[in-house]
Amino acid sequence: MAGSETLIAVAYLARSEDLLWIFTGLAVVVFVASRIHAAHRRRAIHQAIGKLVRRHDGWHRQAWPCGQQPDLLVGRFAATPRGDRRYGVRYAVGGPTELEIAGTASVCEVAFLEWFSEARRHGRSRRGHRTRYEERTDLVALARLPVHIPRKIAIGPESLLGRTGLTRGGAQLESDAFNRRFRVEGEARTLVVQLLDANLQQVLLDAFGRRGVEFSDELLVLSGKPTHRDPTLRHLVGSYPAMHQDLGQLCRAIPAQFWRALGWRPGQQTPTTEDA
Amino acid sequence: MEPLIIVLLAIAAVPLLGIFSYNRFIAQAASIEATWANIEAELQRRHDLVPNLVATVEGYASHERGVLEQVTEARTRAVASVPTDVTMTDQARAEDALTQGLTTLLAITESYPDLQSDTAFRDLQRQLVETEDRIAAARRLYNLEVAAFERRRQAVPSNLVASALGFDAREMFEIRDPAAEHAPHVAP
Repeated sequence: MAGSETLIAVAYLARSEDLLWIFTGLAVVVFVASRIHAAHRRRAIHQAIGKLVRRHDGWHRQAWPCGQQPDLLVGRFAATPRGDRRYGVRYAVGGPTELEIAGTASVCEVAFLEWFSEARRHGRSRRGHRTRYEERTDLVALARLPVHIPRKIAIGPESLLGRTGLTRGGAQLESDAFNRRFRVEGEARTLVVQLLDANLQQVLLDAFGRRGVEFSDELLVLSGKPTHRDPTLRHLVGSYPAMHQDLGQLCRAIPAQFWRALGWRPGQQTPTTEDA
Repeated sequence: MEPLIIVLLAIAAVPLLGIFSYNRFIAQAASIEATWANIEAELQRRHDLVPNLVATVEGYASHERGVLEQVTEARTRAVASVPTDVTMTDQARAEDALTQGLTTLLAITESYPDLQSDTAFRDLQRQLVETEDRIAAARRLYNLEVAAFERRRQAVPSNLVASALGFDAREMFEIRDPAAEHAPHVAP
């Protein structure tokens, strides 16, 4: 009974000009609600960042993660794409931390952030072609290493065709399981081989299956969502402690020969960066 | 398309595939030679470092004559095993003997604090470890090239090209990895 009354009411309204006002009112309500929700989310993220900063000495919010302007990061790594319109760094936090390099604790500058970029999407509607922009976000952990890496090395998940062995590219290593899961790109093949010893290959297979690892200049970039999170920190900041742990695990697993090949000496530290 | 044209195209494709396969074998063989040349260059560098290392240790620990002579002899055997008429296995065993000798020598040096603080010795030890790192990397690259070559040499249909055109089996180069043993210990 109530349903039929509602239908009658809608039919009445549909005939009237009030329908326009109802839709306009609904749109305004949806818009305001989404803005309030976004503001609430931003506030919660900033509170979580504040909580995280208080846990680590010297950590702070960063506009330029590890002293790198977004313009220097864009397009340089798979996790920092340029997109087609806007791009940038959000919710960056970090500071000095101890990473194990060739068996020695070394203080390095680290940063954790969300990289966003907007990609153009073309669609077709009754009124012709439509262009819209979709935002892509990536969780990124950056570490400023005490050495300079002369040639870029990128390790990322292998494509679906690559997994079947049809289009496998990049450097191939001894382990077929590793070659199936990861695509390794690097011009300096000797350095790639020195980096990816049997132990690191196994660590990547066990713990970094869907993640990206890249080395360029003095930066180590670990991208992708970690498998666990800190439930006491809300939204994406809850993933930052896990990314911090993963970065430590990754550095521990990198063989000493790789660091030696890059000219690292025990006791060598990275200069820490203070945000402007 | 006429069936005759299809048959002719198929017949023409066979020698083309054969040429393509042959050229890939040639490229792989060249790559194996290049990576082997890298190994030899690094082994040569290690051989060149040994006399200086022995002389430096002798200055502080001259009474460890037995170990010093053992290293010198192992180095002589390793240098003698470089020519092409020596099998890869014999060369690998000679290098292993040199690695063993150097491991003993470097273990002894830990009892001589003056030697450990000698800049020339530390520099030589660092150069030795870096050279051995490069030997290990070059060896892995060589073995990867050989593995890829052998995979093609044994797989169908490239095995037909390999057997018809005389591409022989290549041997892996397996030696002990000395860099980890010879790296200076770092206090945590």
